[in-house]
Amino acid sequence: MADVWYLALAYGIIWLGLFGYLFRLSRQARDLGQELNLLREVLATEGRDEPLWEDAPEFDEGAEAVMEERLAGSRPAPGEA
Amino acid sequence: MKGLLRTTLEPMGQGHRLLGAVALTLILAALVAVFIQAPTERHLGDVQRIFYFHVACAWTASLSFFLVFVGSFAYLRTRKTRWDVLAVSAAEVGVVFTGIALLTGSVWAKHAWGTWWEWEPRLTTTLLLWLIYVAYLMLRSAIPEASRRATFSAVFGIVGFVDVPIVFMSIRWWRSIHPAVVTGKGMDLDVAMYPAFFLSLAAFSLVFVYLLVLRTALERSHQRLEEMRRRATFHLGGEVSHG
Repeated sequence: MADVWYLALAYGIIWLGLFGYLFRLSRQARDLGQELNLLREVLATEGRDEPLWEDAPEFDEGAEAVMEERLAGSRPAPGEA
Repeated sequence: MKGLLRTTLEPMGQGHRLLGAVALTLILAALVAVFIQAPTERHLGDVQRIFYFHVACAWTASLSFFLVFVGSFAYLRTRKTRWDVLAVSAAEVGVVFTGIALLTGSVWAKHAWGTWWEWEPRLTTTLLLWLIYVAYLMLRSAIPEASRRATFSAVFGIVGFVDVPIVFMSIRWWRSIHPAVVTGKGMDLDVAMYPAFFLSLAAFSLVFVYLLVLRTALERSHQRLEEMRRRATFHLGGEVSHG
């Protein structure tokens, strides 16, 4: 009977560890989504909505250059005349 | 913005779901092999069944830390953010798997050795490994500036990896009571236990890849959001000063 208890304890630790970590990741993703919404609201309040960031390429692939141009006003954001 | 949100919540779309489904299927197959197909060990009885997932966790942890080493080395060479993202993601997943390996090993030890913990070479070096990568994650959270954080942690990630081969060799270099599965003469395991053993290794490797993909997507999104926040602050501040 003691065998079963040790076995249950060990496998309990494994599932608790894995699912606990998965839960933590999903909660972080949710928090990140909320932060994004907040940032979008702040930008909208200040008169700058998504066009500043929309269609921006991946972080490592020139996004910085595109955003710099948009911020400087030399390159129109999507949807702008 | 929408693209970033999509990246955060659905890292690989269909591919990611498929990976998760395959990993889950393999885990179920491994459980069947461990609890039904594998024979009961003569001396330890059913507790020996801890061994399959315990070793799989330890293997996955080593794989994680190897990726931390690769990511750190590549970051120092190229200075590309994606390598830093890989390193930190692999480190975090590795810490989780090392923690599980330490705890399940402790349960096994209580039954086999009569004690929850023994300061013997394999256990001590593994605990040290876990502490090294916990320190790695703490170091990252203590440095706010992105490029400095990436550089410091890359150096730490490379130096910390030195402990991985030491963990593996510890039971050969020093007198240890920890059993060795892979010996100089091959594998010290009953052939009937092979399917459960290798299925567990494959299943946990896939679970590791699944978690790593999730964590990497999250880290990339987090770093992009950080950058966007910085730019938004700069932009809004600029407007105020112009006004």
